This record gives sequence, structure tokens and C-alpha cells, in this order.
Amino acid sequence: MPETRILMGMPITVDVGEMAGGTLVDMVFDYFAHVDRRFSTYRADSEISAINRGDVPIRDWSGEMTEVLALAEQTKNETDGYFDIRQPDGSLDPSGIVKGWAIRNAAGIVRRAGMCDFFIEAGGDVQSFGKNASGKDWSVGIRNPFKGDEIIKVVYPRGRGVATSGSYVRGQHIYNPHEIGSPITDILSLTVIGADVLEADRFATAAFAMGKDGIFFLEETPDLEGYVVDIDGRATPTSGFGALCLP
Amino acid sequence: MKLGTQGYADGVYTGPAADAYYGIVRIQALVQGGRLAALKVLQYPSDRRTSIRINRQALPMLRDEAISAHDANVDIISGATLTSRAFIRSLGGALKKASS
Repeated sequence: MPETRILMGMPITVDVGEMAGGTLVDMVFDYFAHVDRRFSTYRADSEISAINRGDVPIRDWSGEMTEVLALAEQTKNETDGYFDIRQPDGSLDPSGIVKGWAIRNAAGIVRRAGMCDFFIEAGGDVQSFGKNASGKDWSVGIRNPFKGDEIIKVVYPRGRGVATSGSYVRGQHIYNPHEIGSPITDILSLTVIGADVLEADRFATAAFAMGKDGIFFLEETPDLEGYVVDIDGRATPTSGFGALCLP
Repeated sequence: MKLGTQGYADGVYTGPAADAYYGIVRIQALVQGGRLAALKVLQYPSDRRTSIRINRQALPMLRDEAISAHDANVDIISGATLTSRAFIRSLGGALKKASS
């Protein structure tokens, strides 16, 4: 049975099957709480807030902080600067990568506990492995950006990660770092399927920031597939996306 | 380096090596005007992909389609997220509605 709790300011759902005890589920949620305490820009007592205040010299950064900020820098390089955790005010906000990173690590906790059939979903980003309770491949529905209660596509990620970036639920939340102040308005929702949820998440954020070019970036990048919905209600999939929609 | 709320002392500083999931990473920070001006990854596994530039001419035409409602019977839903503030606000709104 899936269990949902609100952590990191968003609903997180974990389904590790009937065989696993509640302890494993608790371990997963405890891990997300730990990530939130370290990386939340909304908490004054987090490590990232202390770094942004100028309170923590780099030699004292935690290993996890170094890993995430290095990954962010790497992603910036891989996306010609479209992924940038530096905010217009100069502070660092790694939330565009922390969610996928945390889900991937949480999935590692579940796998090391010996579970083969499970999923973890946090704020719309998903990592699944194995089969659902009916013995079928996990299915992931892509939400209609115009109508929150409607599904417009079903994908079967089969161990890959899925992440969606968009502007429909919470208003404009991804900047184009190359044109700060000009909001991304031509696309509404962009879903990426990658080798794992971290790959999907970091490239979903970057490709969304590219606007109409994002889907071409995904088409050009090996191991990434995407599905973008524009403001006119038209959707464009990458050429390998359709294969992931076959049950 | 100076500590406290006055910010960082200007200079170039190197962080400790961290054991990441895929290898060892190390970051260098440039501090200018008391702020972190740039981060640079000094040590990184070399098998990562390199930067990609978009060249539409070299790509196949991507065909678009009208979106349409699907059977909602799925295990998991992927969609854009709410921030904590937005989520708490919307939750607060819902609770307010529920209690009125």
C-alpha cells in the first residue's frame, strides 16, 4: 500500500509492497527529512541557508553538500548554462536537483533492503523498480497542465526515472538564467524520462528553462526522452518517447 | 576565512574531497565582495557527458499532437511541483474552506 507524508514541503509517496515492514518506509521518510534539514532554503537552520548567509567556509561543507553542488555545476556545464542554481539575488538554491538526488538515494535504501518492486514519488518526480501489486509494470500518468485532475499520457518507465517541470501549478518557477526577468511562457509542462530520477530531474529543469528548444535538447541527448506541452495544448514527444508508452 | 554574518573573505578556497555516489568530487569557491561568486568542480569522474549544443538542422522533425484525456487508472502521477510555501498556502486554503 502506498503511504504519503508531507516532507520537504511536498507530498512524498512510498510504496514498497506488502513484504516490507513499516520500518523501511520510516527509514525512507527519515531520509527525506534529513535531506530537508540540510538543503531547504526555507529553513534558517539548514546548511544551505548557512552557506548563503556566509557562515560556512567551503572546507566545512558536508560531503553531501559538496556532492550536490558539484552535480549542479556539472549540470550547468552540460546544459550550456540553462541549469543554474544561482538565483537572481546571488544566493544558491539547489532545489532543482536535490529532489531527484534524494529520490534516487532513497530508492538505493529500499534496494539495499532487498526490495525489488517499489516506487518513490516526490512532488511529481518518480523512481520505480519491478512490478506493481498486480504483477504489471508500474505506470506513470502525465498530468494535464490545463486540468490538474486529468492524465494526458501514460508511460512505463521500467526502472528509469521520470520528472516533470512546469509552470502550471505554482506559477512561473524556472528562470531562463540567460534572460532573467523574461518568464518562460511558451511551454507549460515538460516531462523527462532518464536513466534514473536524478538524470530526469536535472535535465527537466534545464530543458524547461530552454523553452521551445528544450525538446530538441532532449532529442539530441542520449538516454533522455521527453514530452513537452505548450500553451496551445499541443504536445511534442521526442522520437524515442512513444516506445516508453507501450504497455 | 572570516566567519559570521558579515559574509566570506575574498579569495579562492578549496573544499574537502567528498565521496559521491559515482566517485570523488572536490569543489573550489571564488569569493568576491564577501559572496560566493563562482564554484568550480576540481575533481570529477571523467566518464560524464560533455556539453551539448542544440543543432535543430541535424535532428529529425518532431511531430506534435493535440493533448487528450487518458484513462486515469495509473499507479503514479508525474506533474510539476508545488513549493513548500505554495503548498502550505493551498493546504491552508483547503483547511479554511473545510472549517467554514
